[in-house]
Amino acid sequence: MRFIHLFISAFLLMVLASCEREIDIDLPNDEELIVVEGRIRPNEAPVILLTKNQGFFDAVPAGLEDFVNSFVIQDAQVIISDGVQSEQLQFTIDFVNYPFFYYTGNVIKGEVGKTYALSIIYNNKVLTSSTTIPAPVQIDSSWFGLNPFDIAEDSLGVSYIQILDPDTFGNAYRLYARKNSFQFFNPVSGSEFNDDFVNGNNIVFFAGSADQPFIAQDSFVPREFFYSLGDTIYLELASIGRKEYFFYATLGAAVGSNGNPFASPTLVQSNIKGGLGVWVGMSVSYDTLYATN
Amino acid sequence: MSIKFHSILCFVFFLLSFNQLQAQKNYTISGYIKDESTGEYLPGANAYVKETMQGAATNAYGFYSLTIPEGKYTLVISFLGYNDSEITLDLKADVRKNVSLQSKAIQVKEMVITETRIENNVKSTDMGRVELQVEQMKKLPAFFGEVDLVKIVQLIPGVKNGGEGNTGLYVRGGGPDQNLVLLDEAVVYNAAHLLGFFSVFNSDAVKTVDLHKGGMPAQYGGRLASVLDISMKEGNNRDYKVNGGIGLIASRLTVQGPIKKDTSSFIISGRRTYIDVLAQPFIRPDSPTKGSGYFFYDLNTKVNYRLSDKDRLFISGYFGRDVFTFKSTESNFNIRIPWGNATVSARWNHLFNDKLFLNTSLIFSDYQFESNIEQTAFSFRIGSGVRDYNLKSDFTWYPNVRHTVKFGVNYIRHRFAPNNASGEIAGEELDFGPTVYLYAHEAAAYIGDDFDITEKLRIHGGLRASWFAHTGPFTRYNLNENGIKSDSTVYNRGDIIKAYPNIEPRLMLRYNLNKNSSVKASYTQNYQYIHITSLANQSLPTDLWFPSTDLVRPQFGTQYSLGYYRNFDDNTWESSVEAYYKTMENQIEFKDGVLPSSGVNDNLDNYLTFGSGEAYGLEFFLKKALGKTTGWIGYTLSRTTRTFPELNGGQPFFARYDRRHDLSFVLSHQINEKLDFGMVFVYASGNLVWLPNSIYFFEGQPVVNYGDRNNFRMPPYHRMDLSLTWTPNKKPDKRWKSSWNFSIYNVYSRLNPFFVYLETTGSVLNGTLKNQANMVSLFPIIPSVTYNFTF
Repeated sequence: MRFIHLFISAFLLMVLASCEREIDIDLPNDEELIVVEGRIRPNEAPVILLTKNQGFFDAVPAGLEDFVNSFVIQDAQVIISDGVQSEQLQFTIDFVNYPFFYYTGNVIKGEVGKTYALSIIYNNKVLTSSTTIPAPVQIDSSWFGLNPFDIAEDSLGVSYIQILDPDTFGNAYRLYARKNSFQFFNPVSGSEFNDDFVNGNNIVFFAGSADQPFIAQDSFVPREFFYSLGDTIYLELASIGRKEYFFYATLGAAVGSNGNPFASPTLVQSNIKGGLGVWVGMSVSYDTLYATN
Repeated sequence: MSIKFHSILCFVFFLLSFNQLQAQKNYTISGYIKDESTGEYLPGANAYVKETMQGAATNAYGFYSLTIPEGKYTLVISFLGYNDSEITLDLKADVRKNVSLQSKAIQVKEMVITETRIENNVKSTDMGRVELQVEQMKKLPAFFGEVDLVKIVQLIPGVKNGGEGNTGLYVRGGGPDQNLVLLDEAVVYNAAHLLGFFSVFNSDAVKTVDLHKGGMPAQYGGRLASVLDISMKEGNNRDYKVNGGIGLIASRLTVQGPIKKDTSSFIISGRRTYIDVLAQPFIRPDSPTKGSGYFFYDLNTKVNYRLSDKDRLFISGYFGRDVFTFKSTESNFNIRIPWGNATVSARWNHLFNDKLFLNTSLIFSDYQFESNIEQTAFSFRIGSGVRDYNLKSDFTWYPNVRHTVKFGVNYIRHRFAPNNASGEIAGEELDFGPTVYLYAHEAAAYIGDDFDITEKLRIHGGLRASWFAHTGPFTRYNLNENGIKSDSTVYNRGDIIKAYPNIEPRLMLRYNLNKNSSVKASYTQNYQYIHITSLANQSLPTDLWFPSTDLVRPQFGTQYSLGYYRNFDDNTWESSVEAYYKTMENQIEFKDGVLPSSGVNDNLDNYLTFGSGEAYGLEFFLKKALGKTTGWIGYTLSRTTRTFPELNGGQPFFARYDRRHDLSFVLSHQINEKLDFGMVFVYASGNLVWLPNSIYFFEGQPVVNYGDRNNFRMPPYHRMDLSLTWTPNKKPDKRWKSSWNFSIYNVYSRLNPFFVYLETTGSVLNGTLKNQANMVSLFPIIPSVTYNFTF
């Protein structure tokens, strides 16, 4: 509800505003913070990408290679434990699997129901976190539907997904998707939700296509946001925990507020103690659908 | 002993002091003071006895009462802008003396005018009270042909506007919801049109403006920071008058006249802008503003009837709307956003006897904000608002010339509508839950006395007992330890869910050092029961009012102030220095990490967090009140912080509208008989914004990271406005009078910061990623011409 207010205020004032220009300002710097993009799934080794922040006006990466050199942390000490054994993870460069530059191991593999503790030591900073892999929830059915908002072209649409939420408290979900011949699953922004209001129900929701990474979402291009007739759509539904859901939801609000002057500052609720980002245990289920009438 | 009980004891002492004046036979001179040509009653006029210099000011309805020992006296009635009236009396019985004063604007040549230079600022107890008479204000720079009351009030030290486009008033470090704005006793919830560029008050219909910023007397309550008490003219009861103005941006028209001469009159005043219609042809087709429209209109009406010597009836109403519309030229997309206030007050004055005056008012006040969005098969409406039903009685008792006792009661029934939404998509109704209203009672009883203890020392001692209750129907959603709704408690209509009774002492004193200077001090406590939450950095028409509840305790404020007042050159110059210190408890903000979806089917106050605030400052003021050149300079040095355990790591942070320096310079100069020049210059430190400090990437998306709250101060705000008023024919006997006003707002077109925000655009992949800061400004140089007329 509040979002509507902000949208309206932004709209109203943007139209009335007579002038907008870029200015030079000074901002205080944050200390160096470590960002964790870590996940562990059943029967897989953990995959953890570590990056760091930089001052808002520091030089921006001029391409992917530059990004890797300035942001990606390659020499941290990363240890995972399942309560019984621990393993120190190794940094790997692997262009076959996303996210290409990550820490992984070969001893501990994920199991549904187990809890995994993570600890990271880098530059005299210690980060800790813990997550549990929930049981997978299957996609009951999925289909393509023309977009309900009548924006731009008629041939664009969204994917509809139906699931049955288990009766237990604390289920949450996030959708990843890829289309046609694109190799990697990417998250669909805004697709995260939890069962606070819908516990135990049959849920139907719709979602557009996934975001392209490394491109700022500052403009709305319908062709990129929706699917087109004829697309083959691959869906990956992740079941995640409640804390991890709040991370993704606040992250989505923070990313979505880029360029909106009226967005109130969103503090992303990370489950990493001493750092940013998320350490998420997730189990996944898949489905494929074809965009036809 | 707590300060509250101490104040009650002090009261009893004051009341007992009445006994000592029983010795001689006292008689009462009382009556109403009016403007001779219009019949308008004059509040705040001085009625005093020349021989003893004792006297009183007329109350809000122009009534005065002096009880003094029998004898021969000269009664003087004086008021700024009018010629004094002197009446000799041989006081042997109670006497009613109604007096009409002649306005200085209508002067017969060669008459020698004697005048009591007004020393009100030195003499009155009201610390931090500023009285503005609208007729006097018309000498000030006029923009778009008329003088804007709220803009003038913002030029007074201690009062800041929020910056460009901000609709609120910020008084002595307090927030925009902490000001009580009254129009003929009805609360006006949003006093701004067009984002604060115009106020909702049409100066043609307004008689007086009173601002209390340094502790309000006991008859006011319900807000922490200030009272802006505005009263409308009653309408000329002698003659019909029409006046108005036609301008580039807005036009206005006022019609007033007698319904029954000397007994009953009316006034109707209306105003509308049409800048949207005029600007349309000039907007480029591809501009985002094409297809958008904005206009506002307002209407003030008042009728009064003098039933007898003892009874008068007034009915006043205000209705105003701002409407913003947008029709997209390419897609089927429409937005229509109306908002505005509606108020009605019915008031009955009754004189029990020469010493006891009563006003009883029945008031209705309503503020609505609505957004309507339509997109082909999709339509959506969201509305919010406040509605009040209010009954109050205010007595003024003049037992003798040393006391003016005010006491009364006040009851308000509030109804709040926080964000009720409805809509449909492809014919199917969307379900946003049932329409929710919040209800509350607010009541108060007060007593206050303005007591001249000695010739030099006057005290206002007051006590206000206030009470607030949040009532049903209401559903409280209880949160469990995980912070999600576990169950709900349903309250029925009339159930009292939570009540807050409180006592508010008010103490103000003034000590005359000599005829020209005085020292004032005050100590006041206030409770505020209704609040605004705002997620945005700005004060906007979308801001929601909501009541105190079982989770939200009332705001509580204490203010101490001390000031020195000095007039020079026989009251030609007025000056003052005032220092204040305020503490505020139970201040309200949203919790961190509140998601946009929060609050759906939930209680808003589950997402709030509470803290305290502190504000202090020094205000300097120098004014030239008389002569061809008049004006003032005000400078405020101030600081205001907030401390919330759950925000900013529990560390104190500056409030958004903390502005270290604030300077206003106002000048009016009469160049010759036909030309008046006006200038306003303002300078203020920039507002604060909470900007992120650093940026990181997550899943390839840029994400900003926030550190300390309100960490960035925008560039300073400064602006100069000029105006020239040309009155071609100043013949007093001509019926049709007119003048031209040329004014320029923001003469050197400074693009003042409206807000600053950060933005990331482009892509890392092709090296076009860019992080930048943008500043949005609202109003560049705006010239305007207005033709004003009266007949």
